[in-house]
Amino acid sequence: MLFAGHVSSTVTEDDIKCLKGIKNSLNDPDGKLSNWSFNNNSAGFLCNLVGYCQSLQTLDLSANRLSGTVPAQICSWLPYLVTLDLSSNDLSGSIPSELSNCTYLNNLVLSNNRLSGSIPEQLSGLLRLKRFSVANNDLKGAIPLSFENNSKVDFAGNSGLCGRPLGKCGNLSRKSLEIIIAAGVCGAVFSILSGFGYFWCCGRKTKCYPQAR
Amino acid sequence: MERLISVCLWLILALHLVLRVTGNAEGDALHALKNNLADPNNVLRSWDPTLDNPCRWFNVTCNNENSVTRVEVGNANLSGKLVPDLGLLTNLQYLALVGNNISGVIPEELGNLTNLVCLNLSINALTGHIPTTLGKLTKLRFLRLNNNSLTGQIPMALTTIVTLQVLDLSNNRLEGNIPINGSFSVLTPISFANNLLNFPPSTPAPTPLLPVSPTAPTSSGWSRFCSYHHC
Repeated sequence: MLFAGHVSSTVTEDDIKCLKGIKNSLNDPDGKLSNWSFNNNSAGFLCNLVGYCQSLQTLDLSANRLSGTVPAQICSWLPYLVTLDLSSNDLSGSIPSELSNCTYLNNLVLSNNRLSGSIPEQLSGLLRLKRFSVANNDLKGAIPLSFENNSKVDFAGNSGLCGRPLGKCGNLSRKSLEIIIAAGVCGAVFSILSGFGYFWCCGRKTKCYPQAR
Repeated sequence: MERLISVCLWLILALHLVLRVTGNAEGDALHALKNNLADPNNVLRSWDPTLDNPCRWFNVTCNNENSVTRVEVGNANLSGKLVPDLGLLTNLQYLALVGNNISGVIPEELGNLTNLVCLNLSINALTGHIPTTLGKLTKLRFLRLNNNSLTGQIPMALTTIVTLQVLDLSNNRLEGNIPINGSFSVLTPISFANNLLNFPPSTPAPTPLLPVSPTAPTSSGWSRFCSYHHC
C-alpha cells in the first residue's frame, strides 16, 4: 500500500504532461479548456476527467469550436482510447494515419469539421471499429475498401469522396455531369433551331433571293 | 358480523407473520454473512437479526418495500469468507466489499442477483475461479474483482453482458486468453493487467506503473473523493 501511494503520485505527473500536450495541440477560442490549469496543486480537477490520463478510454471534445489539426501523436498519449469524438468543431488538415495505432478504438467520430485530404488506408487496421463517421468535411479520394459496407451517411457531405458506399470513383462528378448535359441540350436545341431557320429562310429561295426573279 | 371481524383479524395477523418471515429472509442472509466474517472493528454491530428487517442496519440500503438494494462495507478490516446466502438478496443492485481481507471463493449463487448493477469485491484475498454464473447478471455495469488471488480462466459468459461498462480483473492470477468479442470489445489491457493471461502479440504492454483502481485506499486525497459513491 505504501508503494501504491508512491505509484499514484508518479502517474499523476505523467497525466498532467499528457493533458498539457492535448491542450497545446488544439486552439481554444472560447477558452473551454482554460480551467485546465497546470499548477502544482491542480490534481484535484483531474477527478472530473475520470481518473488517470494514460488509461483514458473515452475522449469527447465534440461541439466545442476547437480548431487546429487532429494531433498525430494522440494515440501515443492515449493508447487505450475506445471512443474518440472530435465532431462538430473547426478542425482542419488531414486525418492522421497514426490513428491506426489506437488499436482499441470502437468509435471514431470526426464529422462536421473541415478535414481535408483522403481517408488513410491504415484505418482499415482498426479491428474493433464499430462506429466511424467523417461526414461533412472536405475529404476527397477513394474510401478504403474496409468501409464499403458502412452507411452512406457516414461519408456524406464530402464532395470529393468516392467509392463504396458512395458512387464509383472515376465517374464524373454530379456537377460536371450537369454541365455536360446542359451543354448537350443547348447544343441540340441550337442545332435544331439553326436547321429550322435555314430551311425556313433559305429553303424558299424566292424569299431569300427576291432579286433572282 | 362478529365472525367476519374475527376472520379479518386472523387474516391480518397471518399476513403480518408472513411479511415478518419474508422480511427476515434477507436479514438472515446478511446475518449469515456477518457470522462468517471476523469483524475486529465491530463495524457490523448494527446488524441485529432481531429487527423486523435489515433496513436500519448501517451499510445496508433498502427500497420502498424494505428489500435490500445496497450492501457496502469497505475498508473495514473484515476477514473470513462470503456466503451463498447472498444470492437470496434478489433486489440487490450494489454489492461492494472493497478493501477488506475476505478470503475463500466468490459464491456462484451471486449469479442469482439479476438486478445487480455493481459488483465490487476488489482488494481482498479471494481465491478460486470467477463463477460462470456471473454471466447471468444481465444488468451488470461494473465488475471489479481486481487485486485478489483469483485463478482460472475468464468465463466467456461475461462477454454476453451487454450492459458491462467497466471491468477490472487486474492484479490476480488469471490465465488463458482474453476474450475480445461482445461486450469485451470496449475493454483494453488495463482491465487485465498483472495476471498470467495471454496477450495477443500486437498488444502494447500496459504501462508498468499501473493506475491503481480509484477505490484503492491510497494516500492521495483526490482519488478517495473520486471513488465516493461510485462502484
